[in-house]
This record gives sequence, C-alpha cells and structure tokens, in this order.
Amino acid sequence: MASTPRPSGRRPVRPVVGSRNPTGRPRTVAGRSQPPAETPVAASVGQPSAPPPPVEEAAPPPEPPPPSPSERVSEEPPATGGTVSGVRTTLVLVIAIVLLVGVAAAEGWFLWLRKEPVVSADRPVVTGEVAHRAAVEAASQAADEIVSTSYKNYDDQVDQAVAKMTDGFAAKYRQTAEDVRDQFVRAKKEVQVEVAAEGVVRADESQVQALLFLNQYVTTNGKHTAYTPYRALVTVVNTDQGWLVSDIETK
Amino acid sequence: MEVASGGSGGKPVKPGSSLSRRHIALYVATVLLACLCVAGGVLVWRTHQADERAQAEQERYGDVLAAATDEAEAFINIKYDDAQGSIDRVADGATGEFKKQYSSSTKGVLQVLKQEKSSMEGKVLWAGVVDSDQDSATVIAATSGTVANQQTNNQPVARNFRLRLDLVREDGRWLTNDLQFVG
Repeated sequence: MASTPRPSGRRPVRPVVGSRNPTGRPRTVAGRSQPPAETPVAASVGQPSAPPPPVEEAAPPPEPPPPSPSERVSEEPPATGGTVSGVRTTLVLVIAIVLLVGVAAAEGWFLWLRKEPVVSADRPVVTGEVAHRAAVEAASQAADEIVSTSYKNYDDQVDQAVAKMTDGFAAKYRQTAEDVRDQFVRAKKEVQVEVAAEGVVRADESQVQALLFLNQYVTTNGKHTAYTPYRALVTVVNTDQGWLVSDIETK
Repeated sequence: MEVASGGSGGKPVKPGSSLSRRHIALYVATVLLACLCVAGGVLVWRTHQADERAQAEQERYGDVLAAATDEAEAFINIKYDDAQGSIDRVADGATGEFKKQYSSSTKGVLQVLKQEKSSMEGKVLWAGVVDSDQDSATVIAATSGTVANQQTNNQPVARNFRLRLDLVREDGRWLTNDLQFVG
C-alpha cells in the first residue's frame, strides 16, 4: 500500500488559461520557502537539491475554502475577459484610425484637389484684385508700346514691341509690321497712343482680358493728320517672363 | 522574477506586453491622426472662409458688369415709336443725379425722338470693371450700333460709343448714378 499515492490533503491546482501562473506552480508565499521536491523551477535555476536548513515555519495560512461552482465560473472569465477587452480596445482604436484617415483624406481633397473657379458670365473675374490689376496695367503698357511707333526707329520699335508678346502673336505682328514698313517709313508717319481708360473684362490665373479706350494721334511728315478714338480688347497670358500679349482686337 | 513562457530567444516576456505595445502604438497613431485632423480642419475652415469671400467678390464683378451692360444697352436702344418705354428702361436702372437729369429731360427727349423719327440700336461689345468695392463700381463699356433719323434719311449709320458708368448698390441692386461718354 506504500505505493498507493496518498492524498496530500490539498486539492490539485488546475492551471488556468491566461492566468499569471499558467504552469500551476505553487505561488511563493511571503515568509515561507518552498519544499524543494515540489519546486521544479527552483531546481531548474540551480538551487541545491539538499534540503534547506530548517526554518521555523510560519503557520500556514488558512486554506481557502473550495470555490463554489459559481465562483469557479467567475474566476475564468477575467482571464478570457482581459483578452476580449484587449481585442475590443484594439478594434476601437483601429476603427478610430480608419475614421481619422478618412477625415484627413477628405480634408486633403478639399485643400488640394478641389475645383478652382472658372471664368463665366456670373464670375468673369476669378483672381484677386492685385493680380488682375497688374495684368491690366501690363496690357495697357504693352498696347502703348506696340501701337506707338515712328518712321525714325521703326525696326527698333518693332523689336521692343515683340518683346511684350507671346511667340505666336509676335510672329503675326512681325509679318504685319514688315508688310506696312516701306509705306509707313516713306510717309514719315508717327503714331502716338494714350490710354483713356482701362478695365478688366475677364480674368483667371493664366489669362486676363483688358478693355482699353485708346486715343490715337497720327502725324504724317511732321503734320498732325488724324485723331482716332477706338477700343481694344487686349488679351495677356501669364508666362515666366510676366504678362505677355497674346491677342489684340480693336473696334 | 516571475516570467511567462512564449518569449523567443529565451528572453523573458512580460505577460500581455505585445498587446500593450500594440495598444500604445495605436494610441499614438490615433492621437497623431487626431492632431492632423484638427490642424486640417482649421485649414479647411479658413480656406472655406477665404473661398466664400473670393466667391462673393467674383460674383460682384459679374453683377456689376451685368447691370452696367443692361443700362448701357438701354441707353443706346431708343426708338421714337416706343419712346416712353425706351426712357422707362433707362430710368429703371438709374439712380441719383443721373436719374434726376434723365427724368427731367424726358419731355424734350420724347419730342425730339418723335420729331426726328429717330431710332438708335446697339449692343455692348465689351465691358470692363475699372474699380469696384462692395457698394460702388466704375465700368467702361464699348458699344456698337446704328442710328437712323431724318438727318440720315432714315438709313442706319454706325454709332460706336465709349461709355463710362458709375454704379452704386442700392437695396441689393446695382444702379447707375452717372453715365458719361469717353471722348
């Protein structure tokens, strides 16, 4: 009968999944050393296998009463509940992050990808006042330089004028200037222009149309011959070289 | 030291540490994103306010040009056989001194129109804003049209004008308080 395992008087402790002591090792009790035979952990960390010196043992704490079935049930959920709670927290944080990313994306779209206003009858000017005033002023000065010319330095003035134009418009202007050059120089003509009024007709960031009221004075062979008031719609485009004239329409 | 199994490389792993680390990372990411969203929200709000102001200003240009165009076209479309209607259309878009002067000369204008059998027709080719603020604006308009009366043997003769109109905003409407020919 000696081989028959004797009941130790203690209930075997069942390891609890997720508990802080999953191996079911006996907990270290303050003021009490563990019996060496029952402490594989102690053996594994190199403690001598000899029995420890006798220590006056404190009275063992009273054995807790066996848990009732309801307590047993209530012991396990905290371990599982902790995991569930952690997963729930993770889920909530992930959802929050997804929502915040969505909000950030919407803000980014609004700030950088929203449609810029376009010129229309309701909104003919879609630039700030400073920008379109600068463009209208550039159109006015360019028109003055382009239209005002003299037989004395005709070619130089043509060169100066084309510097205020886009390449396409400059090519057309050069052609016209070349066509009338001989007649203009032979008649010893001089054209002076003054801008009587100027206003913005349409404007966006890349192109502005300015209405100019021009007063033109023509002198032929030193004699004043004609005064002509007319209107010009001057189109200027925004380039690396500033506002350049891309078209002039007169009526 | 109490340890838990499951650590790699034999290192002791604190229980639940990977979950905690993940939570910390998620919390940090959430807070950073929240800060980004708040900053972005402020930017969006400011941009929206600026856009609204810009839109109001841009629409003001449209309103001013439309009112000036209507008034200029009313001014250059006068027919002796609908003289009173022609004058009423001009008066409808006028205010202040201009309306007073125009109304005071109505009787004489009606008489001349009928006597000369004068008809003037035209349209605004281009109109541009010279200056504008919330309550006043100056516009120039280039018109193209014809006039026919007994002096032209009732044949239409080209009449192009350069007009300058001063407008004021009254009760939400842009009305002309001065109209001048630009010589």
